[in-house]
Amino acid sequence: MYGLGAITANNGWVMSVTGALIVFSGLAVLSFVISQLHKVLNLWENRVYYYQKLNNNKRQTDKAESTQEKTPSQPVSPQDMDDNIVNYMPLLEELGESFQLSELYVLSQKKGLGHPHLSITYLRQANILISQGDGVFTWNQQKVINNL
Amino acid sequence: MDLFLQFLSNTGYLLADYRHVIMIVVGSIFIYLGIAKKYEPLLLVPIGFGILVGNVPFFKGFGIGIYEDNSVLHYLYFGVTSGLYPSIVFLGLGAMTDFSSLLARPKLMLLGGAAQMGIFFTLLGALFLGFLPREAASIAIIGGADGPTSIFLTAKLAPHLIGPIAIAAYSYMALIPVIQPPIMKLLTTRKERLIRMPDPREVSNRELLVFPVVAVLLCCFLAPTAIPLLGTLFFGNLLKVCGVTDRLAQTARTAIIDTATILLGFTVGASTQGDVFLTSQSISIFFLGAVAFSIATASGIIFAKIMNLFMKEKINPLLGASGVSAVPGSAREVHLMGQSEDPSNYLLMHAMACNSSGVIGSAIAAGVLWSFMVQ
Repeated sequence: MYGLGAITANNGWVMSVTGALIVFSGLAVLSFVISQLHKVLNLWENRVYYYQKLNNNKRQTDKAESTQEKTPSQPVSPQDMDDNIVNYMPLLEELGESFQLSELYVLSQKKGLGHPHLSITYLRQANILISQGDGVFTWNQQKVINNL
Repeated sequence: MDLFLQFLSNTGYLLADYRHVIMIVVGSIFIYLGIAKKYEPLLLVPIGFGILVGNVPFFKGFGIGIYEDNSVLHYLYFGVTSGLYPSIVFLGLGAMTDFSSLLARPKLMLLGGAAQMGIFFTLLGALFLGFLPREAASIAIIGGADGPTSIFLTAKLAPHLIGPIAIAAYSYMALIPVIQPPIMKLLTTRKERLIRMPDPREVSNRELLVFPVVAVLLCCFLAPTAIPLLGTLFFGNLLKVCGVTDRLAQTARTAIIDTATILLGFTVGASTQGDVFLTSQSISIFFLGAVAFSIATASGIIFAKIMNLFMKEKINPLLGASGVSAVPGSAREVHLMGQSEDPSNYLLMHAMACNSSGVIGSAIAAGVLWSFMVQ
């Protein structure tokens, strides 16, 4: 059998359309999954911090709800300590135990973190960044965990 | 005297007919293209020499020919008919492939999907010309521009067509520098060919490590019949990226893939005996193969142009042509065409991303077609 009749008789139209759709959608799903892969891995690598931040946020919400009637709400500080620490945690892992402040500044700029000067100053004032002399700094791990 | 005459009657010189001569010329052309023009020499030289060997006429019944039981060639050919060699080639391919450019720009994977449309158009064309569904599916897979995948599917669905389909697939892969550039030029404007792609982001080792596991599960759950190809492809890749099996990866991408390629090429070449190869069916297969390959190239480019209608960050539509899985030939062609317009435009990394997604796409397509035919 030849011609369009042969295509129809052998279910060719359905096979072609279905086959093309399956292949394309399979690759589209794979493409979506791998586009999210680095985000999922980042979440997994920083799971302790995100988990603690989640708990902290929950505690703050509960606290705010309980004191809402007693005190007027405060404006949120742009230099919120928890956010600052969470933002800078991946940089800590990348830089290792001790580092120069300039390295931290360059890396934070590279990662697109806002106001690196202010943020780093704030971390120093809060004794989260501790000087070891000769311009070398380290992180106060205990303080980080307490703050989170 | 009688003994001498009997001996003479058994020699190839007296048994040869015009079909053997034609195939010997074809084999010689393959060897010439491989050595002198350097068109896919690793494939064309073994295939070409296999064609020469397979077309030496002999007296049937001596257990010499590839289609005769208990012959050496027949045993070697088992690796083709069982789908063993293509799986081993995919193992080595996985151990060679760097998926980082694909992980950096996953959108390019869609171009690998679009380029598989050639397969399904050709399925219709083959049915239109009167091929049986199993034969049509085997011919259509030539559009994936993937030799091992074509051989694998044909071995499963239409083993009697392995010779012409394998020769067509590898011929068109070798002729990429001739087939693809005119289509690329025809379907793109100069402005489009000048589009620069941003540098891909850095991909972490963990991403590279997780990718083969995620990909094999996603793809093989979708098309379990693709396991022999994708299973080995991603296994080979895991050996490469995991960092603790360097020795195995090294063997897979050198000794193992080389052995499989030699045996695959040689036996496929030897299977093209003039009397079984030179038929009107073979001519139709070559014609359909060319159509499949051209449509695959065109659909990748057209899809890239469609994507550009919706994307802020435009992609160079030439990359669509590398969505076929001829690794790395089509990626190289895309890169060269991009550079011919602007020597500072480097498209190779991006084209390799499309190319590797084309390998995955054509293996899924083979699995899908196989499962359609067994239902």
